[in-house]
Amino acid sequence: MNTFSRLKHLGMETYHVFNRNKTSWVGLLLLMLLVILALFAPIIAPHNPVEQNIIQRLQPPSSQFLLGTDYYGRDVLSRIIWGCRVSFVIGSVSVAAAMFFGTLLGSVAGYRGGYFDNFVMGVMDVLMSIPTLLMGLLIVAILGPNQANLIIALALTMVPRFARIARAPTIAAKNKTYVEACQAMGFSDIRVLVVHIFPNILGELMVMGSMWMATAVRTEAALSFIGLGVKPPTATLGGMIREGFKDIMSAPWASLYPGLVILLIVFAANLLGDGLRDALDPKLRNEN
Amino acid sequence: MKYILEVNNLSTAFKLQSGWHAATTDISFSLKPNETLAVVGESGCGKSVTAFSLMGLLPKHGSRIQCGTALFRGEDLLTMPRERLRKIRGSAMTMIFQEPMTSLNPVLTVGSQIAEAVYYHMGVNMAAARKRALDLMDMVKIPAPESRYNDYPHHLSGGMCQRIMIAMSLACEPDLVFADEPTTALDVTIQAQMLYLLHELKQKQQMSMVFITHDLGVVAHVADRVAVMYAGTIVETASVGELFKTPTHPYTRALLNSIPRLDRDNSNLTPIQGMVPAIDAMPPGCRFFNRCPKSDQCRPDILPQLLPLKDNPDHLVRCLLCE
Amino acid sequence: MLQYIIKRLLLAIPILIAVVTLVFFVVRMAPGDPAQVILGDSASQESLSALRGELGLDRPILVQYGEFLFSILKGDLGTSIIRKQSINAMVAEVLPYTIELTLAGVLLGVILGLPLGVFSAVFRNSVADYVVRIFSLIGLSFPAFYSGILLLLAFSVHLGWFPVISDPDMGNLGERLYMLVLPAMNLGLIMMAYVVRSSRSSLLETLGEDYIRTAKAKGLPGFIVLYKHALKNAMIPVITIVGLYLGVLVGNSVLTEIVFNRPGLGKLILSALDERDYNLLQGLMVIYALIIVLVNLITDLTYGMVDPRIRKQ
Repeated sequence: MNTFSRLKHLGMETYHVFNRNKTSWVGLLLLMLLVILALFAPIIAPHNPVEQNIIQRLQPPSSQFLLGTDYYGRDVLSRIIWGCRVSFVIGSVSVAAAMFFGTLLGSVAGYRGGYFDNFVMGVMDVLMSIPTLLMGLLIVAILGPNQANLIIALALTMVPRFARIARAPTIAAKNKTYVEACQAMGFSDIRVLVVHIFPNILGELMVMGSMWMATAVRTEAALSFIGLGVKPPTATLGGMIREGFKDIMSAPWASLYPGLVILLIVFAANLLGDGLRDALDPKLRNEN
Repeated sequence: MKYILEVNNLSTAFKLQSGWHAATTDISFSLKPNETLAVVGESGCGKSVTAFSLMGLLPKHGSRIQCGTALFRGEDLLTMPRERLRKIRGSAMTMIFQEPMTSLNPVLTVGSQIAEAVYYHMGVNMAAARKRALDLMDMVKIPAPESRYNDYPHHLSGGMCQRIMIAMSLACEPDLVFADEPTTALDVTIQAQMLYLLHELKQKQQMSMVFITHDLGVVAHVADRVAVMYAGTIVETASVGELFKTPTHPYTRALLNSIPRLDRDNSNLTPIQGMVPAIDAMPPGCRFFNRCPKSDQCRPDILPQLLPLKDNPDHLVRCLLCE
Repeated sequence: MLQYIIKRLLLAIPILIAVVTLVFFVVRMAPGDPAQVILGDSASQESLSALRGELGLDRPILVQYGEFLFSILKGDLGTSIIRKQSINAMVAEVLPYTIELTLAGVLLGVILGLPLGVFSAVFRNSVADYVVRIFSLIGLSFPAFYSGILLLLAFSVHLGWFPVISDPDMGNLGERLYMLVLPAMNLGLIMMAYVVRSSRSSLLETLGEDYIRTAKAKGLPGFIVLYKHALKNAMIPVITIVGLYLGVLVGNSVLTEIVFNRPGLGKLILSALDERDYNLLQGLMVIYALIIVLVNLITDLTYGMVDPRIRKQ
């Protein structure tokens, strides 16, 4: 059984799981649509997101500026599209990093056991007891508001959760006889972990990954709204709401549309995660 | 009345991914007052499904009764209004379940769970219900009922929990009790105690019982009559003595041959070859055909009826070769 | 039961200490000098170092840490570097507002969410069920500041039911409650989404249990089976969810305070960050940690009250 066939098998399993629940498809499609929008921002965006046009400031939606202009005369639609980019990059990279480091930490802790396990889990517990937004606030305030630091801040809040997911199955699998057999045959620990444990937790990781991506995007937006997001003039969805807030009554389009897009992204990710979770739940299999 | 329960041609179906499939077909039997009928068969043959169908406990979605009648004291259980069935259920017709530990509510005291059956059916106040519950706990031989009343299920052993279940089922002096494998989940040493208790209670209480089990040894102990089920149908019905003395259906014979007995040489136990057909792959004819030792004399396309033997009208068999 | 409480308390203390320690050192890592913030950019080096000495910022870090822990134990959160006020006093001033907002939000969420979740479970897979599920998913996808803005726009600006600029300093109880409505709705609606989902799934799981079948076999009326037998069991996991949601709730209350311009711990934290007020920042984080530990403790205690199996331990 070589690696390629194993990967192919894993891929097919994933596809079947996906297919069981229609909600996950809707979520995925919506998400893909938004990702494509963000990916092709340079091509799709009708205007330059940072180009100011003071004469045209706070204009309602028109044929030239499809969603209107903001306080500095910048095209709201273009800013939204570029803002999506920022949200997706921060959201996906932080989740991916957290997944990688979290599962690594959790599985090693579970595998090793003993003081190492206790120590790592203690640290995880402490990290988890700090609310996500506050942790983000603290870290960004300390390290400075830029994309990389936001990613670090968000990843830190998610690492404990992924560690938890990886730890329990590792401990359970550790005690199974086939693991002992592997060790007797001289397979390295890493190989045992990757080959036997990883496929089992893949489903749960996907669910958690989707749901935490939703949280990451939402938190990034909140931090941008507070003023701790990526600095202007870079367009961020939360930042647009922050800037548009003071003119909300005269020019609501500048804040309401970006907010709607945040909602869409978060909703799509949640839909995906929900659908995946229902698809993976053995008890719910007969519901559809 | 002659029969307390008369079931005729009862069929229940379940919905699977591939559509509706019959779980039980043409279930027919009769039960006299104070009689115990044992329903025997392997796991999955439809014994519990039959009991649930009669009690109205089938899951709302994904199951339905296809046809049949079930006259309990003359009234058809399957067509009566739900409210009426609910009133009968738990008072005149009750059930004891297989897993006593999970069948009791973990956040309510055991005593109150008995009392509530009394309270809701007999229209008395809580104090009277409590007193009756204590009497019942005494009747099922629970030591120190007064202090046990306020215990929670996790404080009690499996055997004790089962006694509570029995007490709950007897609360309103039922005419009919379904016992779904009541001793299967218990220790072997407790099983004998439990069977003896049930036997005693039945004598005192004057009630009929449908005793579901897969254990032929238990059957010999408790039953007056026996119905043998296979793959969703009843294949043989007879009095207990008659069944053990003259088993007629090939399945019953094979079953009796496969268990060890003191009066036989047990060096060669013969298991039954083959497997029970799956619910969505039922053959149109006799379901035992592919495992029957006499299949070469028979045909697979006709489903035989449950018919009385020529010399013993009380003994019914579903087999083309025995007609 | 007492043993259980004591055990939970003992577990909470090391976490509290760890969080406080983490906060202390993390805060100290922030760039920016409080002395500079106070004296301005044009201050001379001597005046800066003099001020630092006055504020105790030039002593070895471990000494500062020790002093900090010691004063926490005494119950004193310290003094704000920038505003020169006792932090205890600053917190006491705004804490009631935060507490009333959070409590109102949680109550709203639970009172509205529980019945809806039960309804959704009982009428599983009906059209109403799907609608409820979609709306609760949308509900918890809303960024709290966006929903706050929408509520403000709809109910204050367009309908004029509530004043846009709220001044919750009104002494009158009626007016104070009135000011609380919109912000509490903001928190409550999102909380409701979580409650609906968790109570629905929990109830569905409970309804499949053996003891529910027994209750039905006893011929008990339908509503008795639901309320007496099922709900009590189903509520246990819901309590956990409320506890887990706490982190999000804190974040949401900070955002709500900003959008609705209410005084509270949230706004205080922001000014602490802005002004590089180390002491205030760490004092506030200690308060937050305390609140979370306290709420977790209450959650665990509620568990013990509802589930007799836990009490046994």
